Amino acid sequence: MEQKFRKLLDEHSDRVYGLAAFLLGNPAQAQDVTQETFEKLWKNIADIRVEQAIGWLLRVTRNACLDTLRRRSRSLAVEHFECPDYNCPETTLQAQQLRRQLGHAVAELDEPYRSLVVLRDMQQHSYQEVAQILELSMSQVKVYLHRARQRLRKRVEAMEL
Amino acid sequence: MKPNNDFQALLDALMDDELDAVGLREIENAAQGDPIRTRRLRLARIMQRALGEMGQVKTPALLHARLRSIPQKQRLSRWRAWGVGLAAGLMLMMVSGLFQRGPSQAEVMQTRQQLAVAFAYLDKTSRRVGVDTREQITRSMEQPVRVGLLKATVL
Repeated sequence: MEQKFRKLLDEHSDRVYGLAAFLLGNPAQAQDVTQETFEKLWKNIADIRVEQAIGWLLRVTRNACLDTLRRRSRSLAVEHFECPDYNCPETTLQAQQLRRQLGHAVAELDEPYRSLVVLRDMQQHSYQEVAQILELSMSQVKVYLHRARQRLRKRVEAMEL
Repeated sequence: MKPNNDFQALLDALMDDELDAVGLREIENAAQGDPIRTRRLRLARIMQRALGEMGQVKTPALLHARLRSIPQKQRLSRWRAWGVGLAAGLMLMMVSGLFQRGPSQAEVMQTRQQLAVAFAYLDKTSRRVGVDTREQITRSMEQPVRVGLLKATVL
């Protein structure tokens, strides 16, 4: 059981933490939610199939993030949005600035648009996986993602790039 | 020129990395000669790349170490909970034993014997008291009756 837990942790912790960091915009709270999620994973480890674990983990993470967001003012989240550390070799000032601005733009999206952009455009999950994680139909995912990208594009077009 | 909705759909396909060589040529042709579309296409490419990079978030090392220790911590806390539960149970048993301890079979037998002796003694005592009381009443009533009879006989 412990081996299974460690395997899932090593494979999926970056995605769990990444989703929490972008939904909450606060690395400290993202760490708390990630810890909570993996504690739940350990409690349910016997019932979870390895191939379905990522969907389960991201669904639990998102629900925990939404609970956290409900407990605090959303405007506060956007105002104090902090980008997490990226595992990205390119660290030019322009690239960092673009990612920070995009991070703010994503943080300003409402749900489920924000989750859709994080899961599909950032973490590159398939449409089917996204639909399962967010408990939406495929057509809903496509329509909402189209709207989310339009909003994001408007924000990006307003930036001086 | 393609209508705007088609261009948006092509941008979505670009974001999804679903455009093949034909699709890429199509979107470039659709943007050609239109500065707004050309800028949109350039920004969509920048956005796609930046979002992809942003998805590569790394879990902080300290958090990862903390997550790896979850099984041990949970086991420890479960044992601790068992320990606390056991201690509480024992305490409860001791306390209830002190205040509400039920008698053993031997104690019941002994108590029954003691009660039987006690009741026998009470029975004997009450019989003795009854006899004494009757004698006392007889004696106390005998005297006035005898005096009364004597007086009547003499007179």
